[in-house]
Amino acid sequence: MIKTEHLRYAYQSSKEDNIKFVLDDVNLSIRPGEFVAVLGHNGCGKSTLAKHFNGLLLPSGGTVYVSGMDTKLEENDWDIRKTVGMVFQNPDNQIVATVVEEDVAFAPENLGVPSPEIRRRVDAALKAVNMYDLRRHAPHLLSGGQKQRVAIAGVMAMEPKCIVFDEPTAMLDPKGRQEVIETIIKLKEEKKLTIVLITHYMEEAVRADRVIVMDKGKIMRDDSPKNIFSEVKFMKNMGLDVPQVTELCYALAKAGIPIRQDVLTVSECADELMKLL
Amino acid sequence: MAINISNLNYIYMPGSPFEKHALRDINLTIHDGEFVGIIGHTGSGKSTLVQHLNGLLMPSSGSITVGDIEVTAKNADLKQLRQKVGLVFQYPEHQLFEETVYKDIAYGPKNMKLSPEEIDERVREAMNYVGLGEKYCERSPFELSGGQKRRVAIAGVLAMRPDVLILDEPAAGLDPAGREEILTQIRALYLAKKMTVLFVSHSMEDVARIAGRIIVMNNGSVAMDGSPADIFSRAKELRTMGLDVPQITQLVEELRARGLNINDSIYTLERAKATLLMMLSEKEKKNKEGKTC
Repeated sequence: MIKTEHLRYAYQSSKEDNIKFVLDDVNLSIRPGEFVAVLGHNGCGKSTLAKHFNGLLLPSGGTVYVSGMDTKLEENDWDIRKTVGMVFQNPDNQIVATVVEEDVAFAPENLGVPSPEIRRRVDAALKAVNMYDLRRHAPHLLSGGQKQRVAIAGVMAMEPKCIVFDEPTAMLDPKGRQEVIETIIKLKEEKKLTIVLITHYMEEAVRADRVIVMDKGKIMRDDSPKNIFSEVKFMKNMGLDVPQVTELCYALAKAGIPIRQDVLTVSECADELMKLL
Repeated sequence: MAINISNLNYIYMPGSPFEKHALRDINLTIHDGEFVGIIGHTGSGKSTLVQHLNGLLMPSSGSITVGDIEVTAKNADLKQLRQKVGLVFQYPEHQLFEETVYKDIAYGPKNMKLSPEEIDERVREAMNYVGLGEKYCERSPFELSGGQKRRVAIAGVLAMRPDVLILDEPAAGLDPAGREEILTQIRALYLAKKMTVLFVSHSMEDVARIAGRIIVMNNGSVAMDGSPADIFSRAKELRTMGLDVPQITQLVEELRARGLNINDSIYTLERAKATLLMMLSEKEKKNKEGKTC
């Protein structure tokens, strides 16, 4: 679905000798239908990486392929953006219209999709994010979680194969976060979309098929959530968190208790503890 | 500085179709030097409540006193109030505007018409408290990282030397390391300056670690008010209010549901670890005794 080969990226700097690579030799391959979470502290290059996935940024070195299309070739731009949609952090910056369904219709209208087809796409997108009942509401009166779901519907109406989410829940409360994450998982499972999720919330990354940890523009780890989070010390060194139950098992194991260290959820942790107690 | 709130009600846009009763009969006393966490889901009234404490909003009915200032009196000295109660808004980095970090932090004290020496002292002190070194003075606040910008904004409020510091979601949108840093600094600041601190958040984990008392807001009313241990032992109620409880609390709940007799007021990792280790060693002891008999 998405493939990067020796991807490097440097922001334009006024001083020639002071080139800093924000992305440094990133090799990555994301398969269709996969749910990949990208973790890393602020400034590690994860958003820069995500912007390469639909050609918002172009590599300084190396190549990015989206469904086999090279993002550097201008003639691929339209097809790439139709293939990979993006959802950003702040829902207020992504909503343009004054009625929910008009907002969702904005992209297909711009693509010149015929009216009946727009209607069909808008309805399908709103149903997919569970906002169909509020389709005639004004977006600015919705909650943060609802607004973010409208933004997701707007991307869905383009009928992409892949959606890249750049910290979609950072500005939401726990309930809004829950709504958005459940929506993302539903899109993966029911619509078979490829999902790339950039997040600071470890409990969201735990639900992915695969986790990528970035630091200083490089990929440090690329593995299953179980393997990644059981490396408690490494994650802390990266400035990242692990779920509290994982940390608890790690602390107990360090104190000499024979307990598995790759538990990620409350019920797994309870299972392990009940075996011992 | 103590805060007293009695029978506070606030109604947004009264008489219009958008009328909303945002706060209902709030009665609270916050003592001098307390560290209080205020928690509640979006729209529960927590931000509306704190905006009353420095006179940004005036109650529809009820009264508020902060120290010896009666906020709700007709002739209240709001200027003095705002110097005593420092309010750090959500995403305070959006309020930065000056060319340099130094000038931005100096803006508040400058408006207080202090001497240049006094201003300089306060700016340096504030920068020190939030962990920004000398080298940041002449930097533009706009080229800093998100966490650094936020610290500049907090320093701007600290330079006013408030007696009460109110922080509305100070860690929202930061990465785990940035969150940790801000929380540690707020805690250190509280211990060093003996301020009264009100910390608004929807992260239960953060509040559990930092506050001595927690107030839970729900639908514009105070739903709970007590120590973190009290509050987190009521996990079910919290969940019905759309709030998350720390994962450790969830674990304790799950273990109890499976028949394990474990103290239900555990909410931090350290306590959980200590308690479990104790239970495990007791169990081992019993096993050994069982074998020898």
